[in-house]
Amino acid sequence: MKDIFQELYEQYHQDLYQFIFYMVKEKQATEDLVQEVYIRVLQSYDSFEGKSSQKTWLFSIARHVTIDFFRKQGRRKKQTAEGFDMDEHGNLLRDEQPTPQEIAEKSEEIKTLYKCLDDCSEDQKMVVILRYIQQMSIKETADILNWTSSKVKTTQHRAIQTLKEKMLQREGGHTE
Amino acid sequence: MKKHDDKSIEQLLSEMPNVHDDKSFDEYYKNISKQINNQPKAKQRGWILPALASAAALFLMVIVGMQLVNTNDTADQANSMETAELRKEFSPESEEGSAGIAMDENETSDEAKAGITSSEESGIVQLRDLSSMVLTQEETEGKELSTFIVPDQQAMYSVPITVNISNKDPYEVFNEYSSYIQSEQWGVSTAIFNKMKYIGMNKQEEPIVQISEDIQGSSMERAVIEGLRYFESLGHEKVQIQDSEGNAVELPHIGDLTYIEFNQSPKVYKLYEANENQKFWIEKKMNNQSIDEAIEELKVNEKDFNVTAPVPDYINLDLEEDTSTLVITMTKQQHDSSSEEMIFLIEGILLTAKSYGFEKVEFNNFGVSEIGKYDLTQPINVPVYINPK
Repeated sequence: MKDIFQELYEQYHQDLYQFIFYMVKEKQATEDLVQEVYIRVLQSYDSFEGKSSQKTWLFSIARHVTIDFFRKQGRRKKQTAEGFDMDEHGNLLRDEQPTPQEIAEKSEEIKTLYKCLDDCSEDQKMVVILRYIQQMSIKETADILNWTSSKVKTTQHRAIQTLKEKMLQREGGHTE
Repeated sequence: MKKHDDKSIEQLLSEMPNVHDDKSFDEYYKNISKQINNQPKAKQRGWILPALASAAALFLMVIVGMQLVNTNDTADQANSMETAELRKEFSPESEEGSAGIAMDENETSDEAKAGITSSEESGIVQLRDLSSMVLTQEETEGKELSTFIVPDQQAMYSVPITVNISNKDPYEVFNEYSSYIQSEQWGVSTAIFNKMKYIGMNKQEEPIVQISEDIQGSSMERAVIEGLRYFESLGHEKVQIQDSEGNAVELPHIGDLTYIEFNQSPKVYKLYEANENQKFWIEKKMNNQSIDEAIEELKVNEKDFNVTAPVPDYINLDLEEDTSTLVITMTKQQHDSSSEEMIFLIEGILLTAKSYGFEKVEFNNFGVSEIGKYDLTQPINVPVYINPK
């Protein structure tokens, strides 16, 4: 098992970590989810048939794990809402997290864009991360998301429009 | 304050910094091995049963083969149970590139034999082509497809139909529906598309569709709303609608509307035989009903409306949800299902599961390891397209 894990780690760890980090924006959660991805991959490695590339397969699992995290987080928020003042404790995770050093060192525009990613839907965010941050092709993105290429293109376009609009709002001081 | 355009946003995104993990390989490995070793072993897929089934199939093939050689009666023997059942469900002329021999109700036995022989020649591939009514991600490779949602001739059901649009602009294709939907032959009605016209995109990059003023009755209203879901398959969440003067559209029951938003309500999928030998999956909305209720609904025939349940009512299915995978275990099966019935059962469940947000379905204890294009030893991805033509 160590050999397989080592191979996966060496080839994909940085990309995998980064994909999940930009999705959840929380260091501890990212580490937990990356670990969860590896566990699922290793447990089903024998059944991997090579119909897709190893990378596509790994990222499809990462996507499932991340979506599942958001679902659970959504359920937790809902449960919490019954016992807590959400106005006081709102924005449970993402915006409350300190910006990582790498991003803090970047220009103001990048920092604003990093915040604006949260204004995108989960689908839009995934497409933007895979296409622009991870530099994957439309085909690779479509395979990972199990979508058609045209859906990737449309979602990508809509994500850019959302980011453009939200950048304008944030830079212009109109926060929602 | 700088105004960004698409290019500058794309540029900024590509300049987003690499975020590095400071947890080491060894730390991960230690945690992962600990967790894997502490977990109960993943359920071992039964390789023995499939292996036995394969051996039994091989044995049968040898026996049948010997019989064929002995009797020198290839054409008659080719009328195997499977192909006979296959014909009962599906006449070959209904599919392009299949056996390709048109049969009417009074077909002669010679014609029948010819049809069956050709289907036997291509074996399981033939079966796959004849039975499957969905497309997986892999099957869409290199194809440009779009899905129209058209009503049946009685406007009872919504029939999604996927067509190959080659290199055409999918938005323009909406207006050219008549070149793609053979309404008479397929037993569907495209009249409603005469009342809708795609005229461009608004500033939010949402499609604008002009709707004729004479929408009357709830069936027509529903057909318009369903027809506009063409744009949903192109990735849009809503469509702007307007009348010929650019004003809100007055729909008979809903009232004045400027947008139609697509709410992804869960659905069940059943088999509808619109015209003879023209089978389609039709959609039926499930309002606030659970996936368990939906699977039960898949057992309900609506014979008066030519709608067949894809899941036989003698089958018992247990459901479990494992994140984005629906795990279905067959607990009771009194009769053997034919290959076609099995494929319809699987595809009906896959389509229904997809509408409930599942991405894969794991089929346990279905008695076969492989059927048509489906390998039941693995969780199966939900299909990407439905009713390809």
